[in-house]
Amino acid sequence: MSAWLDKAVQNVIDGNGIVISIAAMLIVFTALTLLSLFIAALPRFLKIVARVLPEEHPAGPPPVDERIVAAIGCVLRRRKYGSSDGHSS
Amino acid sequence: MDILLEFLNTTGFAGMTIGNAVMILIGIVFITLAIVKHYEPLLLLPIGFGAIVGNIPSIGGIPIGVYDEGSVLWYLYFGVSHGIFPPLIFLGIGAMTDFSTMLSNPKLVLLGAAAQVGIFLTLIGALFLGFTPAEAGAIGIIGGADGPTSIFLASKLAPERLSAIAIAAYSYMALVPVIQPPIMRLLTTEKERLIRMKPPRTVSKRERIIFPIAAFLIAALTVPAAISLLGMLFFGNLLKESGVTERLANTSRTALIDTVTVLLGFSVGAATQAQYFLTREALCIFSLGAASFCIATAGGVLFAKLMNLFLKDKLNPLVGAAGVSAVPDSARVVQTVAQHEDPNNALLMHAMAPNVAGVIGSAIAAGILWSVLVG
Repeated sequence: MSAWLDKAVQNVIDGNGIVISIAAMLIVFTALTLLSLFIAALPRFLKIVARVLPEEHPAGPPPVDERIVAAIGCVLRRRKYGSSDGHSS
Repeated sequence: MDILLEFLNTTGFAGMTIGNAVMILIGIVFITLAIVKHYEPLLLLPIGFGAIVGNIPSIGGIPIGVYDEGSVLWYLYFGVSHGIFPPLIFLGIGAMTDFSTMLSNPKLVLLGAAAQVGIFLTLIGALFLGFTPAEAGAIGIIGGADGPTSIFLASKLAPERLSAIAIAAYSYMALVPVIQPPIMRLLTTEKERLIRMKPPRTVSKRERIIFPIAAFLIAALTVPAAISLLGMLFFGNLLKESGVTERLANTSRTALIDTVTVLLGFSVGAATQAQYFLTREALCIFSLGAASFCIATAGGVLFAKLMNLFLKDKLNPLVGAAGVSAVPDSARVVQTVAQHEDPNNALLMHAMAPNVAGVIGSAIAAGILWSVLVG
């Protein structure tokens, strides 16, 4: 048992397992931290860019389908005036 | 009579071993899980049927299996064994991924890094069990919970272990809803699971267009070995976000990814021939893969708790579990576990951020392992 354990531990040491793991984890964190910092800075950078090159279609809510607006309006009107509103106006 | 006997010797029945029968049974179980339980049906069904096909015993002299050079299956498997299919899958994933939630809350990117701890602890575990460093790296990547990445790295570092690693990776991806919730509940308090997060802000089109280019440059310059995976991922995303290549984006996220998934799933399944697959090492790979996946989940959750010590707007630590890159399954699991505590707590969008960051993180991890352990 002890010999097997020694061999297993030696295999980890020979394969540089701990060094590789720590270094690789640090690199993954570094890359994703850089990415995170870039994402955090991007809106500020784009604000400056927008002063020179305004966005053609500024960000906002997606275009609303006119049919949906009409349907919502119809439902609200029916709630307010009853279902026979077609003749009331 | 001699001709008849000779013919009988060439039938699959004559060459069938117990191992082949077991693998055919496993294939049937995969198909059943896909159809009855809906566990990753798009993958488990092709893999399951591939396993049945791959375990029909070969006839001497006629190349029919994936390992017989020149056979049709060998050509199909070429895309797997040479790491061609995974980047194409990444192209499709990029074309269907919306990075908006990640862009609206960049802190969550770090959870995608934390969950990669499973990969590297499992690498140590695999070395401990006697695998070579290259094999250990390929086994560890199962913890990234990303099938294509696992196949890509295994094809580069340990081609002889590819089928076991691929099956383990996809099996655990399918079992995300079973494996993750107990770990998430174990590591969080009820109060933590009830935390509501601020709704994500609106992300501009310019941000969404610049992101794939800049993110690729940052990641690829840090780890050049990851360019084939990350290049295709971000290229696919640029096709989607640019708004001028809708046809290409649409093909990438539908016809192309579906075609590659069929070929990949089927040929990986066909590579599970009993004599290569049913080995002691394959069992070790499955055990290590499970450990890797559990550690990755725990790593994400614990790191979210650690971040909460420093953050004013607290994170719900459950979202850390989505740092493993099983997209979108682990994000869905986060939503399910959170809604079990509070039916009105919508965490899905928040969980998608570490989820897609996990895809990037595991591809970077694969690149690091490939560049360090190759040769």
